[in-house]
Amino acid sequence: MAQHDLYYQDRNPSPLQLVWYSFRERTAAMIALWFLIILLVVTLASYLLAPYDPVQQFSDALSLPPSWTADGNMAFLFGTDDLGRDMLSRLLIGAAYSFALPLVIVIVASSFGIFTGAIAGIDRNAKYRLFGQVFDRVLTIPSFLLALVIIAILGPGLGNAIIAITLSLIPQFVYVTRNAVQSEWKKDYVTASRLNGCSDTYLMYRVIFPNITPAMVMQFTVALSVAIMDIAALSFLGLGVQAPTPEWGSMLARSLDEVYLSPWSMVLPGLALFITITAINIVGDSLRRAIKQRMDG
Amino acid sequence: MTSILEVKNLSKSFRGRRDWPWSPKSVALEPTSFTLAAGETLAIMGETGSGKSTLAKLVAGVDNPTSGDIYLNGQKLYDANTKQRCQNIRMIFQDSEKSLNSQRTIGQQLEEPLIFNTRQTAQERQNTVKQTLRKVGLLAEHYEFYPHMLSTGQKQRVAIARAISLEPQIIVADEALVALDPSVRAQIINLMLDLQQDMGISYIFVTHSPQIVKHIADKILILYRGKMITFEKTEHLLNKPQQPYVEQLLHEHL
Repeated sequence: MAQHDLYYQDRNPSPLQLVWYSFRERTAAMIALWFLIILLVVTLASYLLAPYDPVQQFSDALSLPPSWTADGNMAFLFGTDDLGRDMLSRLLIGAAYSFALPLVIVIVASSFGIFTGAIAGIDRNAKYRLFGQVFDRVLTIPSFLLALVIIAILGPGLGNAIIAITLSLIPQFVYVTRNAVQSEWKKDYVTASRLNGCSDTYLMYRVIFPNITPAMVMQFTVALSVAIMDIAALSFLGLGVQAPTPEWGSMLARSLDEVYLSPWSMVLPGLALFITITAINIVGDSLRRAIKQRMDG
Repeated sequence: MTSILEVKNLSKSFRGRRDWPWSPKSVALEPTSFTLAAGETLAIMGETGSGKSTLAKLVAGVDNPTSGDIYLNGQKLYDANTKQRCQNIRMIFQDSEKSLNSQRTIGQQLEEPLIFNTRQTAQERQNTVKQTLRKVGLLAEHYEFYPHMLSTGQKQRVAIARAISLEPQIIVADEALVALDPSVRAQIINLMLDLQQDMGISYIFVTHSPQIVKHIADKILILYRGKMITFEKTEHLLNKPQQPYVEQLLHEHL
């Protein structure tokens, strides 16, 4: 078709859209992203999809292998564990604790951390400088250790684990945001906007924020994989999610006793954790590469 | 001609990277005074590190002076009152690329000063921006563009559009012409001179190109290690024998 309008382009992709176009061309990244989207949908619908109650014990089907083996039964797709509980149901419901819960934790931690970090970055009061120094020191402690310390104070349990992981993730967000805001603050375009008479809020949300989104998104993916690992590790140690609740980490811990008798009870939750974290890391890494490619021109 | 800008004993000193009370002070600009009349062009010259950028930034309000006052039309400018300053004194940066926000469209960025300094509605703002874009030799369609889609010269025009959209009295240009190649530089100079005639703007140019200075400046202010050593009309400076430093600055690259 003849193009009548030679000069005007209807689509002016913004730099963020260009990053997305570059991301979209990466096959592995798109597979990982689709996996995460499907996982999220499945997790949200897990109570509808799960064939059985995750704590229901079938006494006539103890340690039943997965259905594709010779001894398997189609009624229990992924087999059952040593108490006769359906593995598929446990994995599905477990996704809510192992994937959706960390997601919520990271969303809460990031919104609080980014907000605080933005204030700390924009304000040059001694008060905030001290605040920044304190957070820099807190960051030298690994987040899992920090979570363990908080658990040691609060005591084990799901609620305390959530609090501990949220608190241990916040300093990283504060740190990344504060540094990003401070490095942007010195740039000419921010000075120009300041000379336009912009208010601090406008400066933060409309001027600086679009420019630090890449850093924020990357920190988000890193924090998500850390949160998943932390909650699984805490549950594995028996400090997080408690016994009958089907969490992938606690399922792993439980399967330790009968790993030779029913290897599937260990492999399946382990595989679920592995694939989920790999997918998140692939998405995060591809995002970083796409952004870098975009910035290099 | 009455002066619209009067700078009295403006000075700036910095402490080191860490701003402790006991770290030594270094003086970037010793007390400097000058005046500028409406429609006049002042060139600030000096070698690298002589404080010429510092002076420009103090006038434009990027930094706050350590001491001294700036009077605009006889009114004192206060550091905290950015509104008063940014409606009358605007700044063009050295690197137009860095001074534009790469994540926002030209239109959004040009509307910024209008949002905060006028009572225009969204529609009026858009019209003003499009008019301003045409004034600097761009098209109204550039409203939708992102900075990376424009050439260096076009970006500099956008920067000028941003400076003139509030119809200021004074524009401070900090080495605004350095990054441009000669033909574009000539275009931009002509554009700025045209705007000066149309709108009666006074310019403060920070530059080290003697050719440009001779072409456009009415007055020249020369700094040497933070100290003002000359502030005179261009003809005077060029026709009178000067001390070696000034001679060197004025006859470089000839």
